[in-house]
Amino acid sequence: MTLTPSQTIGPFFHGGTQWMMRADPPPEGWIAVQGTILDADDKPVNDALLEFNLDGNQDWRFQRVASDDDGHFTFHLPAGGFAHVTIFARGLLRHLFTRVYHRSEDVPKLVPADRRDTLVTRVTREGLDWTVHLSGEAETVFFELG
Amino acid sequence: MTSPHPDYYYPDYRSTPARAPRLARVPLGGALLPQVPETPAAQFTTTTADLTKHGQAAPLGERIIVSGRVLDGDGKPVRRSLVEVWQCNAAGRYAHAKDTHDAPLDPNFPGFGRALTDEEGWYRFVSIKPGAYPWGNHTNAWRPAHIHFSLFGNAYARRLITQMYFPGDPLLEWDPIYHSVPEFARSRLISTFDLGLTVEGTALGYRFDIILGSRRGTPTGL
Repeated sequence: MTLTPSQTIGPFFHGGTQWMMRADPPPEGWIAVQGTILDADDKPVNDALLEFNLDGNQDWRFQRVASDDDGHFTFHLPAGGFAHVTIFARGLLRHLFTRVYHRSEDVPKLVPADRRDTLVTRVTREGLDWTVHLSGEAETVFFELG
Repeated sequence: MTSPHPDYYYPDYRSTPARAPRLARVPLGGALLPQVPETPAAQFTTTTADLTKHGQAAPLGERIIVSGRVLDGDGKPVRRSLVEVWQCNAAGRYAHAKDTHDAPLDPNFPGFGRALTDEEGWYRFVSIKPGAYPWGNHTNAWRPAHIHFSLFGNAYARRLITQMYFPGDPLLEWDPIYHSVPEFARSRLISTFDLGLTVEGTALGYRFDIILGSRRGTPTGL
């Protein structure tokens, strides 16, 4: 049976994807991460939808957030944890699967060593950040799920 | 199985070249993937599935029923699964701050809805037929009328966002987003007019079945 093909989320999804766009405070001990999503020319992607899935049956195991005009978004991780990430945007005809880790040593070894840091949060003066490069020299690792 | 999905890089759709990843994706076994989030049924009422009931009065436009079954690749129903939809109004304008198309807004049509599939995989929305709108991708580029669908399925790897089109739309022939799909799979995106779903004197019915990958087995590209 032919599966239904993917189509782009387009730029006007925000009203339709409000479920689990969380405004309540995250669980105690979780850390906020400032995210940025950029295109091949390092221009901000201002209309992405990012979904963060966590393993296990914990509270806050699903979060959704849309990027703003500067390509910025905020999400939360348990300290030392990681999230499965799904990314949609105008110009993406299919979504992308990636992951984000709090600690670099937890990135699976099947990810090429020279690209592992694309999946790890970075400590900055303001806290933690993570940048998604859809393309370009620092392209983020995306997964093919089998 | 050949993938029915578009490639990321499809330059006829001008937003893809700067956003399509160029490196090969890293294969990852299906083990240890998260469960799909549960959607409490109480959040989904007949009101959230009726896009014509969100204003003070009825929205303008041709009232439609859009209904179908969500099935997995083996033909089994995907039960109690969240379906989200959004669309522009009958004039081709989204109720969205960034939609600058010079067509009127309809104060009675925010244009989004949610439903859970039932035990047989059925969903049903009441809405109005969306209009076409220009989008600047090329000369005389107008999107064919469409409704955006977001599906969670029953496994993380089966997540799908797609668009439903209407039968006989002449704009499909010129639409690069529709044409980005391999030819053999395109008809999956076009709803069928269905007198069985049509409500006498009230609304025209369109059938749109959605086939997600199986919980196990080849995910065919996603």
